[in-house]
Amino acid sequence: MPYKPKPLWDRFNLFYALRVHRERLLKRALAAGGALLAAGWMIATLVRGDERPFSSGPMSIGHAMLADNCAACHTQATHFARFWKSDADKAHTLNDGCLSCHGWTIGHDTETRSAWHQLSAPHAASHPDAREPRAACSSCHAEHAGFVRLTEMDDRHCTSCHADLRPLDAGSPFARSITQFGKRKRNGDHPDFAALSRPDPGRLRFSHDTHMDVAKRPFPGIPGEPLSCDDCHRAGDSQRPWRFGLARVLGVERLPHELASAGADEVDKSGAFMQPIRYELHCAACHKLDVGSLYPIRGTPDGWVAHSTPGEIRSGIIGQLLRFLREPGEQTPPESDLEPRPAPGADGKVDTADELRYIARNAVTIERRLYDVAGGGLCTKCHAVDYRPPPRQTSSAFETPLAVIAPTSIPRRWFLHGSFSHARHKTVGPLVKAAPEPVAAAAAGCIHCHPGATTSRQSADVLLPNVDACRGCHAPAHHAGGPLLGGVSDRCVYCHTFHRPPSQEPRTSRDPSGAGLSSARLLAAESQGKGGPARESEAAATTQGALP
Amino acid sequence: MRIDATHRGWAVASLVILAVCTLAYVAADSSAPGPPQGDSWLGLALGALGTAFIAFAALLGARRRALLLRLGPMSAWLRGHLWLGLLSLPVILLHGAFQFGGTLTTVLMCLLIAIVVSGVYGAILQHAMPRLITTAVPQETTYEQIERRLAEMRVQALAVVAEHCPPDTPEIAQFKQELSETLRLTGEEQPEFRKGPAVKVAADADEAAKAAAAEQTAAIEKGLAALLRFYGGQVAPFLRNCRSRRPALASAVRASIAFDAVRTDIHPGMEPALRTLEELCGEARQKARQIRLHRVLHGWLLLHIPLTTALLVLTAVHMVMALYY
Repeated sequence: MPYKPKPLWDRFNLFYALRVHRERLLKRALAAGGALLAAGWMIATLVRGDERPFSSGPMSIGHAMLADNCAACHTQATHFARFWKSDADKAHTLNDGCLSCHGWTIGHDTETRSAWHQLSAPHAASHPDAREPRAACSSCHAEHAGFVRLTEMDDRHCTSCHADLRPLDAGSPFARSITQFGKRKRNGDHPDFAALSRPDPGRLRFSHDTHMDVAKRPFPGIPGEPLSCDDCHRAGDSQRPWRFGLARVLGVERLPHELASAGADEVDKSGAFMQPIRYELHCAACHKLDVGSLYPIRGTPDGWVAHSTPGEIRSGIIGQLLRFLREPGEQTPPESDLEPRPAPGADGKVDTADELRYIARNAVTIERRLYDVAGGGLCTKCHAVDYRPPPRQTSSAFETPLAVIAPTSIPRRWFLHGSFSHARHKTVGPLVKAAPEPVAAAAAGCIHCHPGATTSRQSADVLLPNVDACRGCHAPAHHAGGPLLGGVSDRCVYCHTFHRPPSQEPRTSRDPSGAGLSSARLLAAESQGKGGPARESEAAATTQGALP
Repeated sequence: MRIDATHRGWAVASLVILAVCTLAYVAADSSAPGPPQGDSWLGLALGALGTAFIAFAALLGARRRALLLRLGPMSAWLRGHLWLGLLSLPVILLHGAFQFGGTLTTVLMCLLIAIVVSGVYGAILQHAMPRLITTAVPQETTYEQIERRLAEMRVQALAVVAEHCPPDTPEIAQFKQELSETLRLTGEEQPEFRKGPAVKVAADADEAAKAAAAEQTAAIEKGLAALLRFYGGQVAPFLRNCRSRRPALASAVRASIAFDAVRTDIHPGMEPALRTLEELCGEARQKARQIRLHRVLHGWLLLHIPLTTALLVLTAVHMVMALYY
């Protein structure tokens, strides 16, 4: 019987769908494998206590060390908070984590715990964009957004309010609308700096023109030696000795280390701000307080009165006159206008009452030499002094009111609502090729931003650059018919801070009041530096005795 | 599944959903200093929507195992799987503000992208390949039955050869031994064999007739030997492993040459058997091609499915942990 194939319907197993084909089995195995692998990874992660995989993104630069410590911010109170807390409460809870570290640095207030840009709650609530007075820190500082700086925020955080401040406060001194700084399609509408709208509050009589141009310099102090900007203006990160300070008069390279430290502590060492102008560091070499040719003063240097307050100066003068009386061998300088010494008594000693009268009258004489404008008073060359000279011969220092020297009021910080760092602008100098003729090449960078510094003749001139000078760099890159300009960030936060109220003084590590150093303090430090601890008391005594 | 006019509704609905989500995202982005993050209410809503789409797409596998339940037509599920699965990617990207985030979320995004890309690849194949298979494989068989059909073809091939062989042919016994497993699989009966040589001579035949018969018998035996040699050397190995491209019979042209060469050596009476063998080899080639096309058509699932299960597990963890923190 020949082979007869099966009919078509018998050739197939009609129940094949009920059998598990090996490819179907493979799919199921792989599906289970994928799930098991994922579950295994998660279980292993949880068992290890490693929370990093659950982070919603890389931590910012400042918080990178918290990448494996979620609980540092996400405290117990925040767990599943979305379900049982309002947005405001949740934000408030999260803020606690932030403020546990940053509370002391951002100046938050206990009411809002977010500073809210120093706005009161009613202001914040009345403004359309002030949605929540108790704003979440994270509403601006979005963490888990990568290895970035949390403070470098988008301008929209600011312009959401500052684009239209009208609803906020009719009496606000701030510009009503600021939408951008740099020049984009149109000029930035950031107003010019407020400091430019009013004269320099400084009361020191000073002419940049005279100081910078050797030909116009009237005094013989250091003839022919040109000044550079950094002979007086240096950021706090500079350690170089000053050229025209007291050190030059004393014949030393620089004032002792203790003195330098004392000075440096008063300045911002980051180099952001210029060091304050100090007579002892910047002026003394030319503007000498030497009255030794007229009066028996033995200061340091010899013949100098201290650069100090009228009260301290008077005390010093009285001390010096008393010393002069007690040293009979000492003669008054030939050109002196002091009265003759009182005659000694039979015992060879000057009567104490006579001594007091002599000191009182002659102290006034010396003070007149310092403060009297008509008499070409030494101090009045630079300072505004309120001094009414008493009648000669009849007046007494004990009855004459002290002179009042107007505070110099040189601003320590000009941009009260913004920050500026000279240290971050050091590269401007090398970029500037041409410098005005009388200016040293090293100062070209300074003059680039402060063009008026070489010609200003009065203290009232504000020599700050205007906002357009900043826009030369702080603007989107653009061609202005020549080389490429701009390209440096023009974000709001580049200059402005949100939390901390503007301070008139740069923050210092010591003496935040910015009180000046007196000659006495400076020279006492110098003496201590030379003599060391063993001679400390001696040096102090010498200082007190010798210095007016 | 072909992407045709029946998909229009799903496509339009998907585009509308995507447009709404995008508009909401853009509106939120323009009204706030930064884009809405995943933990904002809009971000959470987008995340929930995207997760729902992923879950629906993943349910297709379960739906296939519940054919008897009234859960809507399978074609609708397939279209939903395709479009909502595709839509899940942009929605999840909006949910994450186009950022991949941390380790877990980055893994999730990579998984989702891989799944969607492999799915799109699969959809393109599913759209184009069925027509190609119909053309290239006229004798298409249900994929799962191909092995069984190939076994039957091996038995059939041996049977048509055995018809021309005496029962004591040693080669046939060997072939039968080799086919024993195949026979068990298919349930076929043992092939039958002819009894004795194909040429019979009467006892009283004259010498000339006997000589003619002997000559014919020799020709038959010579042809049978050639047939057996061809079957054992080429046909049987090819039918055993038709997926290999190396045998001569794997190519239609070379197979035709080989069969023509054998045809000149065999007895004309064996021609039907040789033709049957040629047909079986042709069908086997189609089966091999079908297997290859099937693997191309469904191979991407070996990536798509495990990634999907991993995605589901990790998504669940992500949801819990995100809400926890």
